[in-house]
Amino acid sequence: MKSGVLLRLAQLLLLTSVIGAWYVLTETEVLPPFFFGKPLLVFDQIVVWFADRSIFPHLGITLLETLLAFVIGTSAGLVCGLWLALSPLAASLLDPYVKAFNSMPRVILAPIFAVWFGLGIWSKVFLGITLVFFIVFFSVFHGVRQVNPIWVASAKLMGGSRFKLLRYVYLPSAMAWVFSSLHAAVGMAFVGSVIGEYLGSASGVGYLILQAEGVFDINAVLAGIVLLTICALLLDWVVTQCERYFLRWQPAASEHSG
Amino acid sequence: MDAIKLSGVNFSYARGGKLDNVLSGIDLAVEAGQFLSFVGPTGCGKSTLLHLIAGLSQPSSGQLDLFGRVCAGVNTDCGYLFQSDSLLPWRTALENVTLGLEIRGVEKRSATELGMVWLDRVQLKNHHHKFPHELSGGMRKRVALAQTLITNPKILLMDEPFSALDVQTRSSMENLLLDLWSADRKTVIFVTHDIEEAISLSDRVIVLSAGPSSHPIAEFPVLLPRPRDVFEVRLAPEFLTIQREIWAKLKQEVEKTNARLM
Repeated sequence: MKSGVLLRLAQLLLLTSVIGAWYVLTETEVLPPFFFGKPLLVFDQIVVWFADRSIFPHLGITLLETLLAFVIGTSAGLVCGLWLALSPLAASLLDPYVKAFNSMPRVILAPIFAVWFGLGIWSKVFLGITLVFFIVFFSVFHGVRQVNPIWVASAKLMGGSRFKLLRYVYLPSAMAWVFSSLHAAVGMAFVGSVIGEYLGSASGVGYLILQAEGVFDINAVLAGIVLLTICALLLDWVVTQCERYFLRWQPAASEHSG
Repeated sequence: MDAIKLSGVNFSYARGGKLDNVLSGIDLAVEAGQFLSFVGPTGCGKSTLLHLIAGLSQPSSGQLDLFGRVCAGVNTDCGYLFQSDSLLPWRTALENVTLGLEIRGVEKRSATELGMVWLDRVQLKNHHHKFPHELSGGMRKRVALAQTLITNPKILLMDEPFSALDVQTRSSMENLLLDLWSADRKTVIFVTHDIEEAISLSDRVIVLSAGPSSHPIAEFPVLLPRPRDVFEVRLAPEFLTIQREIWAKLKQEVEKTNARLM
């Protein structure tokens, strides 16, 4: 317990000393404030955004895009991962294409999506989906292939059809794999929205950052980054809470080693 | 009518371009209600034999009949107690016990009621809410036993189910099994490498030859009176006689296996 508190203090100290160093270096102009911004001005910018409420529509749009990409990409990844893992024929047929899509730098799809889906939210959502999908897909795909064959045999003997096996064995055992991938997926969903906004949009936090960059307002750029980071941390926290609930059957890490 | 009948059953699989014969020429009839044990050296295809009877694998040639019906697919009349853990880690003890009922579409409330009855029979009523990782090895086996028996299978297949348990836990599991079995005398096929376990539980013990191409080489009726206590039955003079006879047969096979593996 005591070491936990100490660790938190040390983490806080690390953060404040980095910000402190940044403050000192930019105040003394060792680092040019024009390129590096000033921590207090970044803070001011965030306060102003919230005080005049101008940030809310932008933040709302970005969060909406991120959540849609996250939910749709995760569900599609889960369904396709289960499907391909359970039908070897489809898996071997699609294998080279899945590999090609996965190794492709999918961010370059953004301009195409902008043409297809316009400059509204959907081009960003689809970009996010392509990023999230593969992370979840691969971990479900590998997870299902590692399901204990004894569980499957035992459920079959109990009279389980394909659908029942999916419901009682494959799906629950894939959940552990889904959650381990969701933490990475949260970050990727944000990447999709912000890159999409950055390349072409009329609202969103990515758009704000682009605007600020256009007038060399480095403080507003940094303020946007800080805001996005906080949102990503919050979403990650929500994922952790869901994970705790859905995976409560797992032994704690310490029990594993003991 | 025989509960289980194997006629000329062979099982082989291709490995590295050549055919591996696991079992060959198995002819066997088991009457309903009999407790039959197989003993044999490591790698003699004991588990494969159970898989074939359960219909989890199909014989390369030969025929399997259960209660006079030719079998081809998975035999849901069979309950299977596996050597390693088969409980689903995300379900509580109670939910694991009722799994088979749920899969068969039994209504949740009556499934839970029956589940509690079975947990009580295996003396785990107070642990119904625990997840498998919170139970000891012996408790997990008892949950698995209840899980297997709750769907009332006509045939019970057991693959060295107690081999991972310590000696005391093992004896109490064996007594529990005999207790539950004596209630409705299902047909049991029990696979083990432990002669004493085989004799103390069974009506009949069959010795399998060393692999490859395993087949039954000797068969011993066990006429010890029931109900038995697995501790006390081991002290009976008949027990020792049978044990010596079986060991004489098994020893040669174990030596063959060792020679092959060296």
